[in-house]
Amino acid sequence: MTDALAGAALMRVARRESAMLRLAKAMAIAFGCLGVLLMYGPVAWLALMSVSERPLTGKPGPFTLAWYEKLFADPRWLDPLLTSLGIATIVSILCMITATAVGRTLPHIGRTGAWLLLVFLVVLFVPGVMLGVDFIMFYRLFLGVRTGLWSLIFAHFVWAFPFALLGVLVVAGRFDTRLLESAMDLGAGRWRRFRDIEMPLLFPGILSAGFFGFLLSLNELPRSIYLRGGTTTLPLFQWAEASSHTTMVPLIYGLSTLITIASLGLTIIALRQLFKGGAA
Amino acid sequence: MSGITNWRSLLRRPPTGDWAVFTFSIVWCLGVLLPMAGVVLFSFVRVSAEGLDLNFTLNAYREIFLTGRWEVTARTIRIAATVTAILLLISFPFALWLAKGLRSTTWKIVIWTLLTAPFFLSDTARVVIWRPVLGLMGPINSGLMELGLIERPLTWLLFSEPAVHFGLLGPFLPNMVWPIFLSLILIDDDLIEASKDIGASPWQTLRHVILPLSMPGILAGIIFSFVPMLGDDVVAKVIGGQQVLMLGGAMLDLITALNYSVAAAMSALILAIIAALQLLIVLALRRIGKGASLVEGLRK
Amino acid sequence: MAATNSNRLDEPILVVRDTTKRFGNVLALDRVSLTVPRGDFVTLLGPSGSGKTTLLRIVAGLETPSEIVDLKISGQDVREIPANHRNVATVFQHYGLFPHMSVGKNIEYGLLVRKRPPAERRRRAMEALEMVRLPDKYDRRVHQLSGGERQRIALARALVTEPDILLLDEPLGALDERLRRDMQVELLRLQKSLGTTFILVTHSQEEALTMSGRIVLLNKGRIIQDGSPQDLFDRPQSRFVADFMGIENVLEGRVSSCKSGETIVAVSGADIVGQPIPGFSPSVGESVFLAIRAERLRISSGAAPANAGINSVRCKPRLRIYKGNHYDTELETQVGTLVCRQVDAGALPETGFALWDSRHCVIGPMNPSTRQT
Repeated sequence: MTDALAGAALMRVARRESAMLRLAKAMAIAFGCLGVLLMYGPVAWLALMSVSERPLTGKPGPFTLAWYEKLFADPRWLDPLLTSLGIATIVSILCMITATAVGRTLPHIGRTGAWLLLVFLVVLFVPGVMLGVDFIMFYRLFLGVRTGLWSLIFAHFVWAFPFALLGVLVVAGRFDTRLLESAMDLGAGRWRRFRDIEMPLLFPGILSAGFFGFLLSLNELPRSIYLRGGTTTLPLFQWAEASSHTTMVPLIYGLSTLITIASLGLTIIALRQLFKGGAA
Repeated sequence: MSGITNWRSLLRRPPTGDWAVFTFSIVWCLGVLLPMAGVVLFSFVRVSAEGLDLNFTLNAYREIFLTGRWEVTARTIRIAATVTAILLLISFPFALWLAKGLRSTTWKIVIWTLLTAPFFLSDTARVVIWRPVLGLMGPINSGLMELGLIERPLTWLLFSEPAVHFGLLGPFLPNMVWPIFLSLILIDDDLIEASKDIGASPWQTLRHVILPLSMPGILAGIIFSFVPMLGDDVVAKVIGGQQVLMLGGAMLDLITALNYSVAAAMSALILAIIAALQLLIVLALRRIGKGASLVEGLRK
Repeated sequence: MAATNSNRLDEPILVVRDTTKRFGNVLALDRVSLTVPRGDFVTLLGPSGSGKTTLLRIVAGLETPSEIVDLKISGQDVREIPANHRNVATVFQHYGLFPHMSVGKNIEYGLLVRKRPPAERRRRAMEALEMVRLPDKYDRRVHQLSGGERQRIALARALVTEPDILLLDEPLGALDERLRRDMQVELLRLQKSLGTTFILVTHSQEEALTMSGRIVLLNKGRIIQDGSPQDLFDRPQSRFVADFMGIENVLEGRVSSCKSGETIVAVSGADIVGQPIPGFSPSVGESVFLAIRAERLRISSGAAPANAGINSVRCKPRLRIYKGNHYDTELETQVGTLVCRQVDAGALPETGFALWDSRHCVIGPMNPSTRQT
């Protein structure tokens, strides 16, 4: 008799548990949707507004490409865009070279390597504003070096390097150094070993380092504010325009939408490279 | 005839790599870490446009508290902490579902992309759109009025603290979700199965197995959200306007006014607060998670 | 790459003299010397940590010795020459095949590095593939191959460079039983047809016996015995050799008398007659070991006749194990547990006598004070 009671009680507990589980799952999905909405809602709305007639009202109006026409008619954004692209390319190349040079060796130095990694990642713990201020005070005031293009490149590089390094480390950590022994045994010298064995196998990591460098530099803002030295990058341009209260603000919508789409595209390509190199 | 040969032992790791790493590390320490440390020094001297006046002084710090700057700092910390807490509450269930709930690989790739892409999008773009949307004539206000729920447009939708909180959620959500997601994905499914097998309820499994093991990720998520948020000025400017002053804006004002000593002092103060907070969080969370090393968490 | 001096056919292809290697506090090799004639198949045998792989790697150039007096390959001093300039090739236990290259390109790599023209590379790679009987795998990728196939590709890749010495580091370790046996025969066949000097490292005495005409047995960084399989099996020079080679019955005792032709050893109260290994003259009272192979033992219900030459010890059969093509029977005796091997399962008496010829009972020193060179 008591067995039946115990059995029924167990059933009730089990059913309550599974009900709670389903509730929790629903909540998680709800939060997830909220999250995605928060992340992409604005961007999607931005794209919507860029093709609406009266975007400043915030309502999607009749659809028109007029803003894009105006955008291409007023080329004030062209210079900053080209500047940003140029800087991003340089930063990307710098990141690829340094991240590879450091990343191929770091997994093999044991504890020193772990500490060095921390040293490189420390800058991620500091707000960009702080870094910008720190650098300008140190270099401009203390050392008396004038800011300019180089300081911008430097700031972007410091920001992007940790990410680029992590990109290479993901692949380098899996690299089998015994392959280098085999190559040496077969007669390959140092350079050959790097060229024939290491580089091809590290390539996905190197490529993603390049992409990270490029995209992070392209969209960098807080550090650029302080270290611009007279140069204007695209994010700086957008920021200045957005904070102003002119009616030309909608042009920014179109510009931002275009940049966003391009960034998304490049991100997908970068991720697919990483996945090809062996996904997590 | 003894010939003792003792040339450098062949390493099983890439040679030349060593000196490259060490050279770069030294350059990094000198070029990046040194300025950060140097700033702390600057806060104790008087810095002006002409140069340094190397007398030890606490003037800069005094100024922070005398002028309204401490309030700004405190406000920024408060808002950032609140938003971080909200983000944590939203992100953990979400990340959990993503890591353990989704099975299909296509979905996983989609989610990965969705989570990563925002890192590469421009801050300004995401934030600037809120102005018209939350504005007095914006769709939210008009919609509510049309539905008859309110008579006059809500003024606090924009240029207010609640608005700033709301605006900070979107841009920093990926920073919080990403590390938590990563650390959850690394939890072996076998462990969860074993827990179930022993008889633990889902809640117990969560508390005793999943939570401790994901602690490094949670820690990283908190730091990656809170810290950059402190430095944010895009949201503050665009959505907060003049009503809500935050750190980023204050810093810019200082630098533009060439008030370097105070800027250095604020910088040093913030660095100290961040370091202290990180220590607190690590200690507090260590009790829940079995002393997970931050470096290990980052390596993953 | 390797500028080999014109090497007379009777000059040894490898000369190692007094090499020592330390890893931190661990002494991996202790003044080891080895000479290998051209065309030989030598096996370096020993338990893990014996230094056999270290020795191999020093020859390959992948490990730098802490001390070395001489290292000559084909008559040329290679002590200062790095691995990629030595004319030796290694087949690794992990194969070391490059995952981003096709099978064909893997095999060609050694030739590519030696700047051979593409046509020649392809031709020689195809020949190598034929040699390991995988002619149609040229364009395959490495991950598409099975373990055994990968092993043969690794072999082909090493051989295509026509090295003076082929070094094999436990190449068959990762293969299953059947495949291993096939590959053992394959390697033997290849060595005979190519005439290249092979040096194989293994921890399996069975493998060493199968493959090699010469076994160099190492333990704790020293060469314990260097000889033919018969030498090690029938005339082990130390207790370690007897144990490692798998001789089933190894006893310890003291010499009680050694008149000419007859050495008697006292083992746990019994007197056993045996034959000292050549070169060993035991003195009375010396500690020695005796080794008797299980096949040489037989069980009889009655004691042996008292004529000289047969040892007989009272025994009680305890356990019989079927081993497929023979039976091993454990016997409890006064001198310890003995193992007797029989092809047919005869009836076992309750108690009986274990008999063996004294000529099959080898006596060796417990503490060999002389070291092998």
